[in-house]
Amino acid sequence: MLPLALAPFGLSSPWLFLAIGAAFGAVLERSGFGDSRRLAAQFYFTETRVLRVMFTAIVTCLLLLTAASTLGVLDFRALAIPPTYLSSALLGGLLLGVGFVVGGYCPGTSIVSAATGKVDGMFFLGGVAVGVFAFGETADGFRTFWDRSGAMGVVTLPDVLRLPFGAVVAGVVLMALGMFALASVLERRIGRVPVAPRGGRAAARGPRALRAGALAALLVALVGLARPATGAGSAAARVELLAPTLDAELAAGTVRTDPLEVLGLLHHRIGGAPARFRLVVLDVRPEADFNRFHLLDAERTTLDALRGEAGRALAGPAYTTAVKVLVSNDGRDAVEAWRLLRAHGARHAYVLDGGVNLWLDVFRDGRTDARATDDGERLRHAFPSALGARHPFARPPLALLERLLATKARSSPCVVRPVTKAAKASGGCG
Amino acid sequence: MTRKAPAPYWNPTVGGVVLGVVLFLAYLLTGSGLGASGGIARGVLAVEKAVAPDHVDRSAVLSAWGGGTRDPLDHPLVWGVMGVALGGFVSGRLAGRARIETYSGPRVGRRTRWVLALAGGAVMGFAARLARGCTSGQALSGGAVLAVGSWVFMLAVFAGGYAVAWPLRRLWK
Repeated sequence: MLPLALAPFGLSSPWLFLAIGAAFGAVLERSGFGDSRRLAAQFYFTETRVLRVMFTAIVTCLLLLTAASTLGVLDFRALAIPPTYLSSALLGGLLLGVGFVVGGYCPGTSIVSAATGKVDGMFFLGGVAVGVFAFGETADGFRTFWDRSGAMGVVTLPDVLRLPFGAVVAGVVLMALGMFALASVLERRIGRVPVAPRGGRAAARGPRALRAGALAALLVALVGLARPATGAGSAAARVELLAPTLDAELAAGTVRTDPLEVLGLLHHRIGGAPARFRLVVLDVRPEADFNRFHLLDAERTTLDALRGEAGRALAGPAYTTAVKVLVSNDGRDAVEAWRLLRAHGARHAYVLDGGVNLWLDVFRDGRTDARATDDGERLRHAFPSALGARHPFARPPLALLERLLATKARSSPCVVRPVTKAAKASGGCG
Repeated sequence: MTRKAPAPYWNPTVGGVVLGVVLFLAYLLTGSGLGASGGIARGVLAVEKAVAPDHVDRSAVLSAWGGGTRDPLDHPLVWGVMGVALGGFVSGRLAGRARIETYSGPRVGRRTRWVLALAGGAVMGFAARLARGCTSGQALSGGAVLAVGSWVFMLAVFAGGYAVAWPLRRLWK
């Protein structure tokens, strides 16, 4: 696997969204989706454009994502995969199908239709506005159903079918081809579409054998090779798969933060300037060490917890913009914890360089030139009693930080990046 | 005034492949797929917030997007929807298809078609919010990343459509 930075790149420029939207609109228009008759024809088998364009697009995109993921340049799990709400998806889907036949469009295609001057598209778009308004006004009444019924979180087909990723992709390809063939048959039988003239049988045989061979090769390659670089599997497995990327990040020096910088964070400063952000200090040391001393407001957790639900939650939407600092006695376990958080997809995670040992070296003992050492995760400092965060150096005063910064007694590069507004968009139409 | 015949539509396979590449680029660059109904819903909410901000704050569903200091329009999909309109218009213009007209089935009058479009749109707007996405955001984008809910949704859309297609065949045939 290549040690490359992982896509998605998380770009969030309005111009980019506009450009992607414009490309989407143009493709819809060119595919004939601005014409309600062509869309409705799907349901009478006179023309199965909707099915063909949609499934060709899904297969194309899925194969590209799979290729990028297998090469290790794309983190499949970091994509905005829409969470599953079975009941509302089923009910909403059925209703939407009815609206499709009655109205002749779907929201995206009606925008294209209205933009090209089709009056029925404009009425449809107005109807969509009425519909979303009606939903907004009534949904509080059935919010429990909407939010809870059949809510499974982010799950993918490989998860629920318990099949390898590549096998599911191969299955989707086969299913799409099967549906295209079925659609051709139904177009002829039900839609009465005349059969397009074809070349002689003998002429068709060569390419057909070739096509079958290529398809077989693709399917074998998918089942044999394809895997989402970081798609499925346990957090530990993902850490292993992501190792080259994570090692590169660690080597680039954008992960370990000096005690001085973390003290700045405790005083709500990033890069020396006051900043507004949420700080989450996670302490992965044993309970006894934690009870003796920990940073102010630190939460105790364990590597095991981070492998499971706790780690997933920290990568979730509630913590998207929180700055997460991982603390251990000398920093080694904290790096492990950092790898787990990154494997879950968390951003803005950092490691307190040198851990609690270096922290106390610098602030309590005043050894401003101290460096991180490997102490085998042993708490080097002694405490007369278990003070926890009541210890005066759980958060040394701002004055000390300012003095150290002013005298340049300890130089520390700025590693923590300011947190911008939630960069990641929610999936799709959500 | 003479008018050139509009350019033919793309072959569905070509359209599908290009659409797939656009979707892939959207995922690769931004991490999210495509969408439409979300952008429309946010536009509606912005109007609602301008008229009755207190009402938006009191509703759990509405305040999630537009309560307090939240700006409903501060979302990529709002830009995306504007892009869809722009791209659709430019493409239709270049193809000679951008003109005021009404598409309807052979047996349906213009007025009837407008009423039906409005009604179908209303059903779909409600349904798209219920399903947390429409054909673009849920079926297409979610389907391409193998989300379970998206595949359930997609099958339900076709099931719902085919269930009423035959009784309503006079609309389109």
